[in-house]
Amino acid sequence: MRIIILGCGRLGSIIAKRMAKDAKNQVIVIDKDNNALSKLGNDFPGKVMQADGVNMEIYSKILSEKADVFLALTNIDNTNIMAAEIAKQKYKVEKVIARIDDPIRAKAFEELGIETFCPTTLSEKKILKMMTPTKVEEDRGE
Amino acid sequence: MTQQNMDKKFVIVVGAGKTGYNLTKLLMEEGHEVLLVEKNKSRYFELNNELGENIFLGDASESDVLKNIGTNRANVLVAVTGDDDTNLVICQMAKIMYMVPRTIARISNPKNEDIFSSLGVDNVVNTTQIVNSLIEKEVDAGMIVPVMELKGGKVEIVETEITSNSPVVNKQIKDIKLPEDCLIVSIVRGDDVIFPHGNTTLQKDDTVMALVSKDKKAELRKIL
Repeated sequence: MRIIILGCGRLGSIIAKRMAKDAKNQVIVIDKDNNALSKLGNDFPGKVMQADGVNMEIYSKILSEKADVFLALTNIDNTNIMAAEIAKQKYKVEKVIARIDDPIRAKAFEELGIETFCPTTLSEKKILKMMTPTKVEEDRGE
Repeated sequence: MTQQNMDKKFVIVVGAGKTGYNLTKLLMEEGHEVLLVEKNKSRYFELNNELGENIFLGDASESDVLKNIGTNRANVLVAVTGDDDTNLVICQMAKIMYMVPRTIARISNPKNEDIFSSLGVDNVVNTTQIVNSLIEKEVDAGMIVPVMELKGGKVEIVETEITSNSPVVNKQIKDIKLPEDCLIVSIVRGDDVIFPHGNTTLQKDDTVMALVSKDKKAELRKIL
């Protein structure tokens, strides 16, 4: 699979490394910060590109060749949304996933046909779940 | 009064840079209800004294902010922050979540224009492109100065001054062979504005305003 990842923070770099382990995958990571890209290490088998995610020009280069997956994983919601929309609408990438930290924005753009995930909502659920046993303990203590 | 109320619009302007600030003041002068939204605190406090209730501190791409400022009853939303992605997302949210009838986004990167239009932003103001085309026009069109672009630049209102060595000086308009998609709409002579007819004679130092399609501009220039 040809996989494009925008944003090489903690999340982006981990996913990039994981995907690149499979030799059948061609992984391209984009970040505007060169330091962020260096997180991938010298032995990273995929490609890296230093570029701004809201600049259309990079997509005309990268997405002119068919991509199977586009992941927008920067920590800026609006950048992820715009990049995902470009990949989906203009370049018809089949699988487009965007990280959106604002739950309401995540829901709004999900309705527009972009697959989104919201770290805030995921954390919220996780925390609530983690708090449940504590609550049982408290109940016992009383 | 009723007339005034009918024309009065609620306009949300996002981004209190120079464009946003001046646009807000202009719209207020015209009697519209305007709310300028700015996320930077120090910029907000800088303008707060002057604009009072017409400026709001907050990030308009946060859905809560859009809700609190009453986006649902806005007639127009204009996004003029410095970031193309922010402008796009705010316009889209205003459209999808609050059904704002008209959204306008400024973009800085001309390459983004296509995608904005196809993503449902009603009007895209391509600042870089406008300045660039003005420069090009200045160089290329010589005497003919563009005044206004209509239909996304396909039709223009241009003006030009008639010099003593112009081939049309002292000629009646009906005797001038104008290009097909071209109309002389007015002549400014001294302090007078003349609405021209076929038998109006063009004089030296007249300023001629014409409505012309873009591709006939060069032809018009040759004639005048």
